[in-house]
Amino acid sequence: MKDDKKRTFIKLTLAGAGAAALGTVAYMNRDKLNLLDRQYLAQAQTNYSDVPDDPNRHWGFMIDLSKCDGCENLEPFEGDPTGEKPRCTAACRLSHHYMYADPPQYWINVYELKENPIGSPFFFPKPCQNCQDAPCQRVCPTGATFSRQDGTVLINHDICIGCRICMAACPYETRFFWYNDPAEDNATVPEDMVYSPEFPVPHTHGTVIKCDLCIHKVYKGQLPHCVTACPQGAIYFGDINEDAMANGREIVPLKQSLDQFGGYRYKEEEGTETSCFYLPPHLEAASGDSSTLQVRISGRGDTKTVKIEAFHDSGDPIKYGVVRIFRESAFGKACIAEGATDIHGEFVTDLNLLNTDSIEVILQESQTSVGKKVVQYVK
Amino acid sequence: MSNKLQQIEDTIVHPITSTTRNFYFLVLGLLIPIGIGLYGWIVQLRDGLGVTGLSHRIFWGIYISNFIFFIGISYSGTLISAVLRLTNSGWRTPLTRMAEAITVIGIAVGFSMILIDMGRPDRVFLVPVASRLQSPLFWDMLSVSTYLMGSLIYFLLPMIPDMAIMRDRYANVGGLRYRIYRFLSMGWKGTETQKHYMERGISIMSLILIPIAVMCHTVIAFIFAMTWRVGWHSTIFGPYFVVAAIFSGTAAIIVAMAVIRWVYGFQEYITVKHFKNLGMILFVLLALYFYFTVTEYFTTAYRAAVPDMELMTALLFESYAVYFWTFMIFGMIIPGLMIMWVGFRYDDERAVNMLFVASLLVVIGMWIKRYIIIVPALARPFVEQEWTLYNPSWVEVWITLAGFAGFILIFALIVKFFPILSIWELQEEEEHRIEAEKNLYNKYKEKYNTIEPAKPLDPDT
Repeated sequence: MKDDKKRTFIKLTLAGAGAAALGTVAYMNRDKLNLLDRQYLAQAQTNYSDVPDDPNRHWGFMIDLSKCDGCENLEPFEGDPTGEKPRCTAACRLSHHYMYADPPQYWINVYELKENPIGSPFFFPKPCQNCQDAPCQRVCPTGATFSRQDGTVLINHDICIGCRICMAACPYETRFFWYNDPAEDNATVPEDMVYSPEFPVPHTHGTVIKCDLCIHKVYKGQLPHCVTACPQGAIYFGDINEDAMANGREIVPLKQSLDQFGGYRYKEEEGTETSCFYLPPHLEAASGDSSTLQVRISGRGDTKTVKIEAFHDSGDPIKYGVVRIFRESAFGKACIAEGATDIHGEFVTDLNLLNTDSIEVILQESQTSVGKKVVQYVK
Repeated sequence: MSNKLQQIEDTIVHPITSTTRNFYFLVLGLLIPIGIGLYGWIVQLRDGLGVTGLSHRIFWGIYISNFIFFIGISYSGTLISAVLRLTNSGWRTPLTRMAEAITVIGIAVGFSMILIDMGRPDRVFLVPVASRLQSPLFWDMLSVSTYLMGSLIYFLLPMIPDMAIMRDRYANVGGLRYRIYRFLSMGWKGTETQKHYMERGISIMSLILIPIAVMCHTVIAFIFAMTWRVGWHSTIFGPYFVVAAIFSGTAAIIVAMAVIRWVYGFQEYITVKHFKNLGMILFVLLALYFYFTVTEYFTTAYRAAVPDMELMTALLFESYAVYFWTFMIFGMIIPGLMIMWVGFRYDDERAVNMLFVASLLVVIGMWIKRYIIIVPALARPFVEQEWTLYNPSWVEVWITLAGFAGFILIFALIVKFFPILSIWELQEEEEHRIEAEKNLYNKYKEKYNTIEPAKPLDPDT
């Protein structure tokens, strides 16, 4: 009898404890019941009345890889402690107040990639790819990473716990973490600035951060900082639903550009449905301007090193231009070398110039001869 | 109560009632790394994770290795205790308590590593509040906390009769200790009903705990396998982690058993046979883990996708080869040979010594394995062309050492406050043995009235 009573007591206690636990969780949830509601998050944390969320929009990038030169010819950006050249990164750092982040962050980064052993390397700017099936959002344990109705993936830094599983999930390495106190950067933030996921400053120590697609700007009809800062106009931004991409100088149709130049999305096979389109390095359309062709021959013996440097008059290198070198000799004229200039407009080759009086270098860019030079070769 | 049963009780209670000077030295020695680790954690809380060697690319380091390692160690309790209990393996009796203690400590230390690794530990309660079922971390939180509660119950439940023994021993002394024992004994009087319900409780718990433990380790593997990372996104990661956990857990229990046996002179209860049996289990698990490892790497290497091969080359031949081959040779092959040697050649104390060394090697090797699961997969560039370097800072190293020291300290304190061998189960076993001998004696007596059979061992019968 006594044991039965005890069992009933235990059962009641357990039930009571369970109810209490549920009640506690519900109570803690009372003002967060719609924590997972995107609209709630987008609005509750946003004091910007001018950042509406329009489900008909779909913001994305189009990046023309043949235009990007990694800002190699420029001086490092003044005031950037990392001493890096790309202006898109620098502009992003400056405007989002993370210039002094330690370790440095790259909400947009420019890589030098080489896809196969034969082709030339090219520069590859990489912002957040703004996935429409975002792995980072899927794995987030608190819902801090969320998608707006217009498909923009943002982070709510008020509920990020800093577990960094989103960094593990992101296939594009576009997420960064505030390891050190961002006090120095936050000091550069205007005092009246109110935090919102759309413009995540002041920064929160111990949370994850990423490119916000400058969603705070684009609704004012402005382009993101990286787009306007690019000296080459390589980065285009726009509404994918509208099929229009702008780089601040021209507005181009997205679909036509993709069709024309074989555009692709980075790591399409991941199935993340990104909103960032890349136009692969292609021969630039004939620019029409005259160009400078410099040919240097060096070396001893019969085999000489021939170095060709090709520039537009504007000073920009002629990238991916087709170079043909012909030989004038006692036996007649023959093509002895063929190749393409790299992103720096350079082409280097070793040639056997025995029995050769002179060589002729012809540079073609997009089927149009843009340079021709005959170099007398003195034995 | 016979002398023999009383003797069991006295031997096992001895470590609780008397404390040597060496024990205080041990505690002091352990408190030093714990103190430095705590200081490191305070520094980290103040300045943020920037004090670690972590970076944007290698964002998980030895904290996460420790987490997997300690949760893995915790498997020992589930295996030794629950599996052997369910299969009615009689020889497990003196090992269960120790194994269950290791489980609880392992989960507690492992869980704290997660807290330490978080950028905002103050917001940890957002995880249950948000309850995002899509997130592997939420599964992780659910399974680890369930596992912790389950194994805590499983640790305390079979201890009730022993707590009653301790309660009765401390009845005259009184004080806080007496009250704790009285609380934990839950009014145990040793009646048949109480025994019945306790034993049913134990069977139910051991049934529940095995799937929970399997799920727990699978989910921990899923944290990695669910991501888009080369080297992590593997279909066998769940079972691979489960086997790794049982493997390292069994090695850990052998180490703990040997130490307890040497320090407190339990040679009579923990015999060479126990070690050899556990050694056999360890060998099977070693073979299984070896098989999994070969399967994982060989299939990857044969297909030789470029990103896979970058990782494989670094692991096998380049920057991480030292770790990988240390694990393979000193964590798998040499311990495997040692266990085989023990199995064929040794039946005395040398078996214990050799198994102790082999298990220690396995435990160290498995920590290294966890490290090379985590770090190289992150160091390999996704987009960038260079590998990222990771050097744990002093904070990470000392917090890790503090984790190990804390593990040993809590174990030492549990040995100091709770009977580390199950008194009632050993006594029960002894009673059964005496009973069986009595029956045998009577049987022989009836059969051969004239012939005197060998006398039973216990002089009281």
